[in-house]
Amino acid sequence: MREPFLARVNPLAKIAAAVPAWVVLLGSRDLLTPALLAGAALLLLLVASGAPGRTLGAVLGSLVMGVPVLAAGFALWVDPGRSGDGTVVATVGPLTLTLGAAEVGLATALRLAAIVLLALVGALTTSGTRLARSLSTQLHLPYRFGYTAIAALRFVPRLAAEVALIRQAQRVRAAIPGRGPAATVRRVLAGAVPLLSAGIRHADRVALTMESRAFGAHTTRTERNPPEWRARDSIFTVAGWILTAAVAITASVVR
Amino acid sequence: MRPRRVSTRLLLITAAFGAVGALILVLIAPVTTALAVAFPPAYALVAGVHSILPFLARRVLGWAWAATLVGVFVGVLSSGFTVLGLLIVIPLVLSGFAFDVTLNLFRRRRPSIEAHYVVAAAVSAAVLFLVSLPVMSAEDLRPAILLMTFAGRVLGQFGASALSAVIARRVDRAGILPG
Repeated sequence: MREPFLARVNPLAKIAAAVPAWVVLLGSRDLLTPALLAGAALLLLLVASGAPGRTLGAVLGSLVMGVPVLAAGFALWVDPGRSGDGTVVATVGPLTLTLGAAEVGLATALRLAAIVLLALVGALTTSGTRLARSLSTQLHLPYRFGYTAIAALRFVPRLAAEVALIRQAQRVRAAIPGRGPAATVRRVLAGAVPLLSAGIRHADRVALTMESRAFGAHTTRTERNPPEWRARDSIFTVAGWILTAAVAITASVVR
Repeated sequence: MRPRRVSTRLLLITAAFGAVGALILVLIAPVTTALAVAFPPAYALVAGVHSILPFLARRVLGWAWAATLVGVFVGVLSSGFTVLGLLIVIPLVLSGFAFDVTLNLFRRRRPSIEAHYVVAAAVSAAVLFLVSLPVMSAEDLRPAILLMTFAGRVLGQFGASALSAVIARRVDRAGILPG
């Protein structure tokens, strides 16, 4: 089956296309810029990510619930003296919510939503392995680091299983009984050494295996299927830049 | 003379630290996200948890860029599981980098002592605070909130440094340090 469009785009192109948008977002303080960029990222995710309906539903649900909560949270921490419109909307204990503060809160929440949605364009459609291989091939990052990152990806499920095993062992031995945060911290600390021990031992074995097959013996190495930078990756990157410039110009004209 | 190359073994042990760090990050991400929304200073305090593994790697392995590389691995490994995606790499790497650079500057004169780690943790806290400023509309926030957020960062990083020291001592006693 053919992969969805965003999965076929080079991982570095997805990052390169989003970087100017992130920079513009960090500098923006209006409502229009983050709203437009968030809308564009959301549209791209819905149309071209090929992500399962449940995942896209979770993204939409988090947006619908998260943005108002985030806006209200930030609005409460805004200094009423510094925000534009001083009309009082509500008073919560010692905190006063003004119209200007609500606007700042909403702009901050939208900005965070846009940053996250742009990051999701890459995160939902890129595997760690493809990213590491692209970093080695296109950015010429030393391959030993790229392949170590790929090996580390395989460590995660193994160490997660190790955590479950350590917890079971602690329960069987009733090693650290009790409830509450203090007991939890003691249990975590007691599990840290066995977990690190397992991680270090496994890393040792993998290193030995890799070096016995001449990994790292040469400064460069070949790839069986090297990730390529195609014309569509350049077009995707430039399209991202043009979109960001258009949004920035539109926002400045409206202001 | 060619500079000494980092061994594959050291790289993979660093990767193992990164994998543990990624597990922790993914496990506590729901808590930290909720705290960031509800009360930024509390988030700044709790987010110190993400620095434990990079700081621990630096203490245990003694390699000059261990904290930075663990930050890279934690970020890359957890990018698919956190809402920030690859952006999570930026604070993790900057925190580790600030910690490493500070310790490397101290090490030029004499071997690292606990006070050096405390200073390095404080520097990394300042860097993390500065990185978060553009995102949270700092110029509009109440000064008290900004001060509390900075204090939260400093306490969080100090806590991470102290916990990493405790775990490093246990790792040392257990005799599992790479030879």
